[in-house]
Amino acid sequence: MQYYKEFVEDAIRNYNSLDYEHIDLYKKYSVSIPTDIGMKGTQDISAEDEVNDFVEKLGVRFDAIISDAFCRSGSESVRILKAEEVGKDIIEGKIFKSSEDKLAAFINATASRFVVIDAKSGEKSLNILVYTKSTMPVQFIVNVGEGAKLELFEFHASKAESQIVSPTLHEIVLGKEARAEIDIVHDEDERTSAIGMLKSVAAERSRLKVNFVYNGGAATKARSLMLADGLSSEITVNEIAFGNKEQKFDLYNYMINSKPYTTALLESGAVLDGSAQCMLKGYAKVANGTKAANSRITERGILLSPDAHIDALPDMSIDYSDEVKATHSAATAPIDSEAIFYLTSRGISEESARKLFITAFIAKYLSNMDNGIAKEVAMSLMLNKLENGTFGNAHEISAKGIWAVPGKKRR
Amino acid sequence: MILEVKELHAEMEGKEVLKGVNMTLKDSEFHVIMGPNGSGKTTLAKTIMGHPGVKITKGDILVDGNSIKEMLPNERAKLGIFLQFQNPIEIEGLGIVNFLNTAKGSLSQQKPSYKEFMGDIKSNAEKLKIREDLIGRSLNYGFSGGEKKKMEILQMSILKPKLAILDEPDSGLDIDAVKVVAENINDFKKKNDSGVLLITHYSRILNYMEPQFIHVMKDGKVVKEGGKDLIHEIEKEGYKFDR
Repeated sequence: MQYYKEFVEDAIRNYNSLDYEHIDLYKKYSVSIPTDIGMKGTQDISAEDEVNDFVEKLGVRFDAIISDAFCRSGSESVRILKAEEVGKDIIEGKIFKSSEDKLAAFINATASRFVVIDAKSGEKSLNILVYTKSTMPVQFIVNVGEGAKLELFEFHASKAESQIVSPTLHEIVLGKEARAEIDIVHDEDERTSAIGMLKSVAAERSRLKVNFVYNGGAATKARSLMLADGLSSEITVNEIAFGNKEQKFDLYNYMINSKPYTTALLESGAVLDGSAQCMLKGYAKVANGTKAANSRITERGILLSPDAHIDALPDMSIDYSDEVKATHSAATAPIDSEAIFYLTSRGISEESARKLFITAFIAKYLSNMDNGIAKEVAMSLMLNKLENGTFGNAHEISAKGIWAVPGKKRR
Repeated sequence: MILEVKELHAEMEGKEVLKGVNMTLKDSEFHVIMGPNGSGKTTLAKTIMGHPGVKITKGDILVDGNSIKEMLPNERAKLGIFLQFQNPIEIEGLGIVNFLNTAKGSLSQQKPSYKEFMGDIKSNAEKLKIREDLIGRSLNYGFSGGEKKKMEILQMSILKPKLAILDEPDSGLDIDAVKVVAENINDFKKKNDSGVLLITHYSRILNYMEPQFIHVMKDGKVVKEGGKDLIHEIEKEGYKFDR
């Protein structure tokens, strides 16, 4: 633990000064989550019954639950450790052990739970719930072995009595020819701010797909570093943020093609109502000598209110290589009035047409999820928000019957 | 349904496009509007459907004697008016079945059973020679021009309007597809006893149809009216009419 604790103060200072941002422009377009509120957090701890009740109402079978009340794993592939139980083997294997990465260092420094997922061989599908009432930094260390396949769905929820921060750090390592889909759905409540950090490395001929869904939280600051590090490896990131009221999202993805024949694709989308704000910061680097690398950043936004605001900042740095394909694009607009006319001309009311259009935009991103449960949870949350304007209340949604899909078997 | 367009003047983006159009369509009649580019045919169609970008400056549109000028597009659709778009909108993420189901639900007091509804889609898609996989895709997304036109005719067949305004259903279609679309429009009209107002530049599609009334528009007005014979005159002479 000393390894982490010795740079706690530095880490928090660096985080607060935005020192970890490597591009000056990103310092300007940045959401600040004050650590002085969050890292102390509330001392309220969720009761075990409360968490169990939440899970029961949600109707999803979780293989592991990480909460401030208790941690439980029903899968041999998932180990949950408290910070004091973390051994040298885990620290040595970490790709974030360097304090050069200051945001990672910040989360490292404050971590209280470690979730180690080992998918060494074969195929695994895991559903994990992170539920908290207090500030509970969690680290996920995910190892997908050579040729193995992993489908991981994480659902992040909170029910805070006062303002808290929910920091999460992911390290994902894919071995040769491994396949992984990681679906991370955030539906924290209005008192919670989320800080997310994800770093992944994909080895030769491996394929990683990461789907981020941001529905809840007062403010979200997410940063990922995706390294297509092996010959012919592929990384795809899809993210969708749906904000209303005064929600803020600062979403930064750094995609790197570092070997020939690699693919690194980023699709970011945001739908904002009220006075919500979103920064889509997609940065792609195509390294020298990466023959036939494929890199793409696409950022799309829909503004539902004149006070909502999206900053779409796609950026690329391309070194000399043969046959590289690199493209980026960004577009933000209100709902297309011609599309609304088209839909209303078929008898659909204007309000329903707007909802249909927004749902379609969201569905486009969620269609990238192969995990049916993750997709259903994400879509239900967003539909509920579209209908009622609320978030962070997934357990209440089931009471309205949105979860219950007749004839659909749950795992 | 009786549709009356009376001395209709309308502007789009501040420019007067319709300059006094008069036209009456009675129950189940088949009318055709022809005319050169920019004559106001599409604007007339959009005005009847209630496009928010069109401003009516004078005149009126009546359905069964009542003005629909102030009605929203969905209210006009509920009266039984359907517009086939010249350039249908693409909406990625909106499944065709979901869209049609929502539209059908909005228009019908009694929705058909899901089985009946899907059967209707399937049989009409087969008649239109629409590839089966297209039905499972997003609305018009990535479709060719011809596929979009057929999808519009499919929507008409499912929603069964009393009056179908068809804005160039033949443009962008190859000769075989023109015939298929024409046959499906004829079939729809016969089965539902609906009225049709078809807009076209060319007589090609009309070789497979039996329109009763032909209107020629030029510079925002109807300048000539007649029966099917007028088509041959247009083919021979072009749009050399002036009122």
